Amino acid sequence: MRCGSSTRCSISASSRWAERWPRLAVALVLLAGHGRALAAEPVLEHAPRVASYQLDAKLDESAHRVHGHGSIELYNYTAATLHELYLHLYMNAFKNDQSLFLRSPFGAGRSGGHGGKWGYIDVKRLYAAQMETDLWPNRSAKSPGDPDDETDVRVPLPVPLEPGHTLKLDVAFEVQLPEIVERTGFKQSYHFVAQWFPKLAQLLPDGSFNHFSFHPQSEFAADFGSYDVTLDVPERDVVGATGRCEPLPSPGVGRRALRCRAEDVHDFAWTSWPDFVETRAQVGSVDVRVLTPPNHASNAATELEIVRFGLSHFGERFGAYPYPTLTVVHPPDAAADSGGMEYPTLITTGGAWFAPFTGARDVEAVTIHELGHQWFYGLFASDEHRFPFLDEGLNSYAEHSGLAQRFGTGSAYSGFGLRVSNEALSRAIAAARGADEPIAQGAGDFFSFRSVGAIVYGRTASLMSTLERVYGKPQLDLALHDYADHARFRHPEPRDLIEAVRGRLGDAAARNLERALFERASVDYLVRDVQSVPRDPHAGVFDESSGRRTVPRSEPRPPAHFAGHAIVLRHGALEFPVDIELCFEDGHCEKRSWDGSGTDYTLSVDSTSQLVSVTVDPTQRVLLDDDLTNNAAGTHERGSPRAFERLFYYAELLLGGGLP
Amino acid sequence: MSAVGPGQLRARQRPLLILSIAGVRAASALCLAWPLASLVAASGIGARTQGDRALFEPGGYLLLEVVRLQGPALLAAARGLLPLLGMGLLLSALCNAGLLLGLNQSERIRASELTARALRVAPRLLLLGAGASLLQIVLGLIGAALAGTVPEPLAKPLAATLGQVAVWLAIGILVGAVGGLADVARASLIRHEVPLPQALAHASQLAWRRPALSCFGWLPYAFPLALSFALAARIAEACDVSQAGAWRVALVFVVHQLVIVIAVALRAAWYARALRLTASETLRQS
Repeated sequence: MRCGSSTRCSISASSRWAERWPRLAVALVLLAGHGRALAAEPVLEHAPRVASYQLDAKLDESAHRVHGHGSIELYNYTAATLHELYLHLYMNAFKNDQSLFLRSPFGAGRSGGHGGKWGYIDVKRLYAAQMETDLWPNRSAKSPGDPDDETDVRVPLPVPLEPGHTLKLDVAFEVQLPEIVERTGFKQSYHFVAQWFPKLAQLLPDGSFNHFSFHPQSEFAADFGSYDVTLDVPERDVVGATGRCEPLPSPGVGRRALRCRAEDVHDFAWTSWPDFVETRAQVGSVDVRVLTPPNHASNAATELEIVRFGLSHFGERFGAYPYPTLTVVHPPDAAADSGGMEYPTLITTGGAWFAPFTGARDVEAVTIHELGHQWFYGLFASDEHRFPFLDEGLNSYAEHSGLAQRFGTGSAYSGFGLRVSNEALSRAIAAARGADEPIAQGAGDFFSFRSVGAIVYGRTASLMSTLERVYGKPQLDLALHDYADHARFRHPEPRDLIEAVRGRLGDAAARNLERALFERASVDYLVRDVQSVPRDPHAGVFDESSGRRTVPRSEPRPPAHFAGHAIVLRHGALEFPVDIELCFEDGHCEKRSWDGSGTDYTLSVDSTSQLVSVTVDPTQRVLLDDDLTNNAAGTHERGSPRAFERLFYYAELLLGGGLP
Repeated sequence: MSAVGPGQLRARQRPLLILSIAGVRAASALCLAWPLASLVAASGIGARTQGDRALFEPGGYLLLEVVRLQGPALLAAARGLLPLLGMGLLLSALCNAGLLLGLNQSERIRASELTARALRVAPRLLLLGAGASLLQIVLGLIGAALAGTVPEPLAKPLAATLGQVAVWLAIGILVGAVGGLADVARASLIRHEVPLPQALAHASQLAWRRPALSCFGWLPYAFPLALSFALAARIAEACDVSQAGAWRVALVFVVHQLVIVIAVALRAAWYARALRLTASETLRQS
């Protein structure tokens, strides 16, 4: 056996880890990790090791199968005795149309359609040496409460696993890869192998498991550990994988082997394809590999440039990227469904070879988005199933602000005199669904994947941008830094984010955040009843000591006085302080501030020029505002000469047919 | 009325006609743009201090908001304007007929007479235009079907794209040739005052004898037009109408209208060329 040597490697890795992480410390960190305040917690240098894997995988490239075996270790860090464990067999989501994944309305999922070939995993053995039992025959074949699904399997333990003890399981399995669907599978000679091994469900501090069937709207949750994976692939294949890979002696004619090791991670994915072109660069301490199809040199350069920017940008905001490697995989066009996904130390992107020449920034956007996941999904390991907004939502905000810093206000589109940012685009998508559902809920609880897109990705990003714009970017950056310090390797909860915001932005901001996350709270500022009437303060009937005096209106009027009046309203439960801009006929404008408390704010203004317009939140700080078009009202309408000019021109072109 | 000699067939001889046609097009466009612009103004944008400058502000928050909130109303209004668009296109076709007739005449011709003559030939020209458009659509569908059959080897994305481009280029050439020939047939119809079948036969003969000029004689006029589109887009971008200043809108308006006049003038120049072609090559009766 090669590093079958695996046993020796495992022991050796264990020893190294034990030096860093005494088991008591693991328990303390994880048990203290729930429902605590953020103050005075050390930033973790390494993850607590709970679930570790040593696996050997052989790819049968013609049958598109993976033959795997190895060992899994589960450390019971809880105070509870474990009588069972749960394994995720995600690959069974693609086994038949009865799985939860495929029987769900597929249009609501992340990918575009069913794969062309079925995929599944057959576990052959799950042997617990210390119990001298193969646990697999006694497992529940179906997911709990779902007789048609086989992605969430309960395995009873004949001998309970006591607190502080480790269970080692020898496992053997075979995976039939589906044709590319939902980020995994094969296309001709290209293989992207993700969610491919029997994976322990996340062990929670109360001794229960965070187990769930694979839902098309959901991603994943898992414990940290170490991964030591040997890959046996065709000799001509170029391999990308989680962790650092080193070549091993050839296992046979026409074959090559690699041993890939990663610590402080919670998943392992890999890809194998003979036609990958590798671009390599050292970015700080990180060895970056970009694997692209042939003819994608421009995409490789773009992705490398974004990775350079992102590692530094995200590192400053959310803590340094701690791993020695990062692999960027750009799938071939025909296997694009395996793109746009994140795995520990490995991300997938996408885009046609000519994408950089179109002026669109899709490749940049997907690269920075997936890179951001290295923090929110990878390092923090938030629960993507229960609270997807902690990963996708916060990461979308990070993506937008990163793109804005890199490309300015035209980060999504720039041309024909228009500059549109990703943030504005995302806000518009989110606003279309408004507060249909709470942000902070499970992925499977959303009405559809469109809701997930609008609310988890878009509305969370708008919420965070609103906090940034209203309370100040430096303060929010500090709050997110606190959150990141705390969340690193600790599986954060929504409460951790709220407390971090409270600590730096104050109670009002935290209250808004909590309401927006959990209570579907929304806000809409609007202006009504702008009036401005001339007033002559000297005219009228006055009772004085000398008797009643009647003063006629002066004609012509002296320097006119106007009494201005407007009502600013706030609909919804969120209360953000806003500016109100009052503009007058002579061209000058004044600014008032409203703390947003109460439901309305009455403006009265005496001026020498007529009040012509009132705008609440004129700089769009509150991106959560349900309707930005009702934020202004005036005494008269100004028309839309610019819009008319463009529409007029386009209509002329339409009538002319373009060509001479 | 006498036809102008082939040597005098020049678009520059008819500047007023060109300006008149651009004016008619502007009037039609006004009818289409006004209701939509009014909807945009009523969306709340018109109430803002900066007016609809907000639509062009960097970031595009209010532009996307208006599209989001007014999109259904704008679409409904656009659907309601379809009959008006149809009438506008008919008017454009009539203008094109008038342009050909005006270019073909040696004497100045009164607007009423030009209109009357254009109305007389318009049915034949419309039939010709409809047939050419139908053929172009069919070619487009064939192109889509063919492009779908281009193999996409995983490791050769460039080759796959080039395969697609080659298919679409071939289809584009055919579509362009159909358009060019249709224009030559229009010119023959006007120049020789012949029925549509004979005009088509003449265009076919010309395509056989002088294929490049008959099918793609319009290309030298399309390039400056594309250039003027691009230049106008650049100028509009540089004017940045999100900034205060009515002169910015005025300048963009002038530039855009200049593009329209250039487009009509280039069409006139191509028509004059087509008329010269049909005048120099006689129709051979079978």
